[in-house]
Amino acid sequence: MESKKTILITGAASGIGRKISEILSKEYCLILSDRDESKLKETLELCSNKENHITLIINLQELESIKPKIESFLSKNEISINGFVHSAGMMKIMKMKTVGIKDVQQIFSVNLFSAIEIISTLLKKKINDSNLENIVFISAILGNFGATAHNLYSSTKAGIDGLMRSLALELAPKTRVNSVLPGGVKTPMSELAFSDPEILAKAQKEYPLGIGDPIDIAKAVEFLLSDNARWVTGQQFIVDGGRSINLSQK
Amino acid sequence: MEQFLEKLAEILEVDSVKREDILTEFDEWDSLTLLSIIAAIDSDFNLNISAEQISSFTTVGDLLKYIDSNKN
Ligand SMILES: NC(=O)c1ccc[n+]([C@@H]2O[C@H](COP(=O)([O-])OP(=O)(O)OC[C@H]3O[C@@H](n4cnc5c(N)ncnc54)[C@H](OP(=O)(O)O)[C@@H]3O)[C@@H](O)[C@H]2O)c1
Repeated sequence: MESKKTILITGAASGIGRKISEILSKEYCLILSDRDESKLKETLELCSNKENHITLIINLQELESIKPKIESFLSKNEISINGFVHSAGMMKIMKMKTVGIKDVQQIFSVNLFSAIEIISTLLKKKINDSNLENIVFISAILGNFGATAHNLYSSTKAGIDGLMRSLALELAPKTRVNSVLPGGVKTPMSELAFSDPEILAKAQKEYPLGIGDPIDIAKAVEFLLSDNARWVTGQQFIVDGGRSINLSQK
Repeated sequence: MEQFLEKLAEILEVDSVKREDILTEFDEWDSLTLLSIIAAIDSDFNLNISAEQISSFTTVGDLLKYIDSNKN
């Protein structure tokens, strides 16, 4: 892995994370992480410069395994990580009265706590040699607004953006930290919703630029990781086809 | 499965559910309840099931049979 920078991408096996991997593979060495090995291999096949990238299987619900896994992975491969993109995520739509502690633990672990654990690990000099320069979270416009039965999901996204701002201050000037906030993007996560013709028709009306494609999010991530964004930190970069400013009645 | 039946009863706000109960006949049956059941199945069995699939089942038993033969 010569002099190119190394980026760790979680959620790389699917949807937005897969497209981010594809786009970044031209410029960076990638550590593609997710929990399903065969889907990660499919992502690797879509990447340019395949020999520059490696895969790292972690189940982000197993919070205690994260630090030891990353630590041994970095030492075994003799590399360090310059950038971290957290795209792994899960969605749970459920009435508040049916929420149980297991649901809370699962979704918070994947969407928020695992990112905290990864960053805390990557900031340790002994593990990552003080090389972390850039962090991008894939948040969601739902963290800033609300939607019926999205109680847990919205909380995790609001949480990660709170983390993002505080870290931007704590880690400046060495490390920039930003979030990309997608609106509805066609991926396996949103498939369930968009397969309902009623929801799809409503979305097509509410999104001035139509529903998004994973590449729209990947391009925003590419910008935030690049030197073109060298004076940008602590920001929510909303990429939602105009959905969140749309108060039109018709 | 017994535990899941209890959870289902909780979501549907009834004391207990039986395999022969008709899903759409529960007072609480609506689109949000359906989504809550999807989330519960994902939590307990790591199984993604669509709203469409659930709508194709008539009884609680049909749902359980599907979970049983597809869970990881
Ligand atoms: N799609 C949208 O409309 C949209 C809108 C706003 C924000 N977002 C955000 O964008 C990010 C990417 O979403 P997406 O649409 O690309 O969804 P996706 O296709 O479902 O991808 C998410 C990835 O995260 C992985 N993941 C889930 N739980 C994990 C765990 N315990 N350990 C390791 N990996 C795990 C998933 O693996 P499995 O498939 O094995 O579960 C999947 O590969 C998420 O943070 C999401 O909240 C998406």
